[in-house]
Amino acid sequence: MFELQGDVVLDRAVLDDAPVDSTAVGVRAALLQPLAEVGDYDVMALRDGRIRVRVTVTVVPDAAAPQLTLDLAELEDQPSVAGRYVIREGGIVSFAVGHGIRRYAVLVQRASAAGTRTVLDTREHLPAGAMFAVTLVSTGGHRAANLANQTELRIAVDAPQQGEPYSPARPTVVRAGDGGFEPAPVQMLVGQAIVLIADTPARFVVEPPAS
Amino acid sequence: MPHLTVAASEAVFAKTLELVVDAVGFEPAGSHDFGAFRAGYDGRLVLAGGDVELRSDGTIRLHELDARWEKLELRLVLELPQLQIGGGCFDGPLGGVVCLPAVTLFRGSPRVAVTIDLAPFVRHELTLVGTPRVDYFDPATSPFTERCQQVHTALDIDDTKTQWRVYCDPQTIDFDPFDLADTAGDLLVDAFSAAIEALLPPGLGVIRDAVFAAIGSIGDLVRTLLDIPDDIAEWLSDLFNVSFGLFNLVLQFVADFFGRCVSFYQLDDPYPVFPATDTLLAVSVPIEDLQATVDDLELVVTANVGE
Amino acid sequence: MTFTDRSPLYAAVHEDGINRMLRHLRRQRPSLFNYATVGFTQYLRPLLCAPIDATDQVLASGQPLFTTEQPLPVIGAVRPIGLEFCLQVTDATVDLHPGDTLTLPPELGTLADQQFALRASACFGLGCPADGTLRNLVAEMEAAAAADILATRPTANPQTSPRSTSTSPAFAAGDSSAPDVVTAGEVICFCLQVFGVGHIQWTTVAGDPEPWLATRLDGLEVVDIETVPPSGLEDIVECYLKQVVELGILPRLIQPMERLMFDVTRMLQDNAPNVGQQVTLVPAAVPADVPHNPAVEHDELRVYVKIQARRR
Repeated sequence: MFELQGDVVLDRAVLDDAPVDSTAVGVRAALLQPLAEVGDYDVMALRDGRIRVRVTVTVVPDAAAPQLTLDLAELEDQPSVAGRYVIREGGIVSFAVGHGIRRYAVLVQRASAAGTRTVLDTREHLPAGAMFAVTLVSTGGHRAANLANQTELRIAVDAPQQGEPYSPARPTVVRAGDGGFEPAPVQMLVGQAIVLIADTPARFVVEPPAS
Repeated sequence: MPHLTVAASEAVFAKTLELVVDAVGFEPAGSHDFGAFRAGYDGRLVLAGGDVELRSDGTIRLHELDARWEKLELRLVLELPQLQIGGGCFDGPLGGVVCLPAVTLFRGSPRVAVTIDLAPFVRHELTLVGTPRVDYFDPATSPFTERCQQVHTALDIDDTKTQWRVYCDPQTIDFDPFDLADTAGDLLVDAFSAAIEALLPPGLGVIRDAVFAAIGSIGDLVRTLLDIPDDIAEWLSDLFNVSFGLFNLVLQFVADFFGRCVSFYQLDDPYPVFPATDTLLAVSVPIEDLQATVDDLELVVTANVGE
Repeated sequence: MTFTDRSPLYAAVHEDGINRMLRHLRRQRPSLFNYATVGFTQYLRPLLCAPIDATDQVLASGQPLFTTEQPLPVIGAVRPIGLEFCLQVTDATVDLHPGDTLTLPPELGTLADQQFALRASACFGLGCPADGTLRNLVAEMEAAAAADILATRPTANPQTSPRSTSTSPAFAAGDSSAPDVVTAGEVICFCLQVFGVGHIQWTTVAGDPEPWLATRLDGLEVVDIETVPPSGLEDIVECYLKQVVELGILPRLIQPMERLMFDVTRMLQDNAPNVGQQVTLVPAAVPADVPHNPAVEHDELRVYVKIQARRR
């Protein structure tokens, strides 16, 4: 006999098996951007053309944290948690959406004496070094594409077999260069993420099997 | 020579004590906060069977009583882990390890309260050796525990009169500690399994299978959540014996019940000889020096009539 | 030898306990030992043969201290008329076999096996009218007698004569069939020592399946009346007192067997219905189980009891 006591709500958006595009980060996707240079970065998340989240990330040589994850939906809902973040030089900022159906474009700019430089603007191509991760929630033949160079990757997604060792926290990493995706094709299990590393400027889409 | 002598054979006395035993009803409840989770219990213990033996050394032995839980509900309240997919870490292109944020299936806190009735899995035997102890009960001054008050209310014992009361005062109590079988642990795992299944409705499709596959053994999950080193049944036994202290509570209850709470013999003082009538008061005589002894054949109660 | 080797339940009361109980009974229920006409509740109260010893609780409760009796009728009076009187048992002692406390008068012989001896002090008081009262009453009686004679004549005066003014108001204003009570001028008392012997036996009472313990008087002797040569006076007094004891006092002292067990079976009996049983107490059989039951021996009254448990 049991009783669920907490106010638990299944996030149906997680199960939405729609195509995912690197121009807008949604609930199953994450965008990872290395910040190589020391300095202050102006980070903005835009939805419907308006800036919804704006924070500053400071990169310093000796910061403890090598990685920072910003949940854009949470930051929009609770602006008070937004603030100034610090990561180590060469560290990575992950942009994710923890829940819901909202999608955000991400704009990262670095201000310096020489002026303002755009480091990342997902509305355009992802710069080389950026990474786009998508968690796959259905089985079957998926397709990933780099619209920047019209290359494609076939992804076979299987269900875990009973008794088979399985961990969803085991991403499959694929590099996307001028010559296409490597390795290709790939085979993975449902619930796992695929990480597409842009070796050249890229715009990724990941599509589920045709129904 | 005492003024009054009454005696009951071992058979009659044994039957009387059996009725006292039948009246045993212990309803303990309690809880303990373990930080990561909270555990509580709600039980009802009864005694049955067993034998009563009067012994030549003046003691009464109640042995091999079946101490049976009619109810022993264990309630565990804890936060289930956030069920997630995706995530994980990989070697970054510029060196170092890069970790992905996982996708969380639920919003909110998946707190679950699991209740299992362990009564069918717990069996104790109780053996008690006691001696007759005489108390003088005065409603105005005699101390009374709240638990004893509840027992008296349930048994409809009249506590409004001064009385001599003779108890079977325990000198030793042998009571088996909680020793739960593995099947009790299975019950807990099953309950958690049902709770997690309820969290993951069939509409989740293949993801549901994936989450279950990720969880692997619910038993392992339970062990992790409750910080159980190995054997769940052993942990449950320790929970009742040590953490809840129920073993000691039962011992204390049995000692109080027989020794202070329910007497097997009571005599009103003053003792009514003639009842009251419409116009006349009752006639009663004071009872003094009441003593009770047993040997291996009978119970003997003696008393004097006061001046 | 144990108490219960012949029956599962045993109860005994020592004669010292019985005597203490009798004392409590006498003080808590004095109306069982004191009998008097209504005048003794009022103006004759100070003239009782012996003051009534009662507990403070009894005195405070206002319960009657004696049993009210009809006045002693004056035999042959022209109209019903009675005298105030009181009868008081002021002391009572029981000696259970073997008789080692009381010395019985020779007329009662030696205390037999299974018998008990009883010694009591009894006082009788008679409310005697003063001379003046008596003279008035004589005149009233003569007037009444004359009125009866005149009433037989055809020209009888229809007017009735007034009632006595020398009688107790309590009776004068009461039921016309009740005798008038002569106002007493003094109370003349005499006290006697009475000895008795008796035995105890089981008896049944309508409406109760369990037996009761009853006392039976086998003999009674008054020791203070001596006539030479012996006359019937002592026999008459003894006869009357025997009726008082056997018909008045002893029937009120019977006890249910259950009460004699001093609640040792209360737990069994109270809980029997809960386990679907009916528990009754029955005396152990004589002589199959025990030679005497109840037994009066070794200065104790002993009862041997068995339990019968039946499924309801």
